[in-house]
Amino acid sequence: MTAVKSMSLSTADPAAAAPARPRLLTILTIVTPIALVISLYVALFVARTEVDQGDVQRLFYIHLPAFFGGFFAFTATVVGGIAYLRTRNAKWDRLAVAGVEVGLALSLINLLTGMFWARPIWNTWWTWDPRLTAEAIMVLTYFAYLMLRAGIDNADTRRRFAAIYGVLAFTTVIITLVITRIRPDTIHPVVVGPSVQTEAQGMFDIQATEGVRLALYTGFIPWAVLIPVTLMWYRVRLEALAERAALLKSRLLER
Amino acid sequence: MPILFQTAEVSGIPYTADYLFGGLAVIAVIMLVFIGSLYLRFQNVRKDIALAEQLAEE
Repeated sequence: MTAVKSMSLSTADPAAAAPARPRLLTILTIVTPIALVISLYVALFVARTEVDQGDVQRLFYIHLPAFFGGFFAFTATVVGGIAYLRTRNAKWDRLAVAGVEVGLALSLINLLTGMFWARPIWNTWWTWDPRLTAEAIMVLTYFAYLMLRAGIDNADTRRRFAAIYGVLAFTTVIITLVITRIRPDTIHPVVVGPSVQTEAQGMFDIQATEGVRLALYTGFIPWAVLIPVTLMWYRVRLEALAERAALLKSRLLER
Repeated sequence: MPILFQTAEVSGIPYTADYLFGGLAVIAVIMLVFIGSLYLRFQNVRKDIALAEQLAEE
């Protein structure tokens, strides 16, 4: 909650001058690329090659954390949506839209890295497997959020609609997350935790290959935490600036 | 040391590094497009604000 509070900009007068970049955001802007480079180094050069799949398995160290980065961002959209409906404060709407944009970028990374992994392992770029289909629906649902949001001119109506849509759209995220745990017929591997799968293809044991756990944990820091937080923060600031520009324009037109 | 990018003939491990590079390229493109789009939108909004403030003063 403290992070959310510090991410939001002043709501007293949107037309007032934008505040300077907070120190924490500057630190995040420096730390995030460093953490990303370290995680890539560990994924590419420290973890040993998985013997059945070869080097393409290294995409897993980005694929999984990117999904959880998207999950984190979409959760921020839910928090922003509920808080906006309760308070009608525009700062929560900024958080909500920031969560959708960043969550979409990370979900696309998750989806496309999965396709590049699937081509040599499943011998196809795409299959209408329950997990893949659920994720495709999730991505399309959030693309629709942005398109529908852009089509509403009235700010209050747009924010209210976006808040409700953002909360409801999260069901697609939950379904995507749990579908491999409840559907035994999906071929998407479950590498971490229990599974009911009977037809998974491309499984590998994270204990068997040296460095897998380290690469995975190192990947979670930038992809699931630092990148979503930093990008959402910038996006929140952009939305605040855009609101300020819109207000200045409307004041000019009123004169 | 990892056997990164080694051929199947040498290690017996399937050579799939091309797909790894493809995946990494896609990640780079998505991140660059998103960050580039944020940067451009910031620039445009700042220009809009500067123009609106100038017009307001006039």
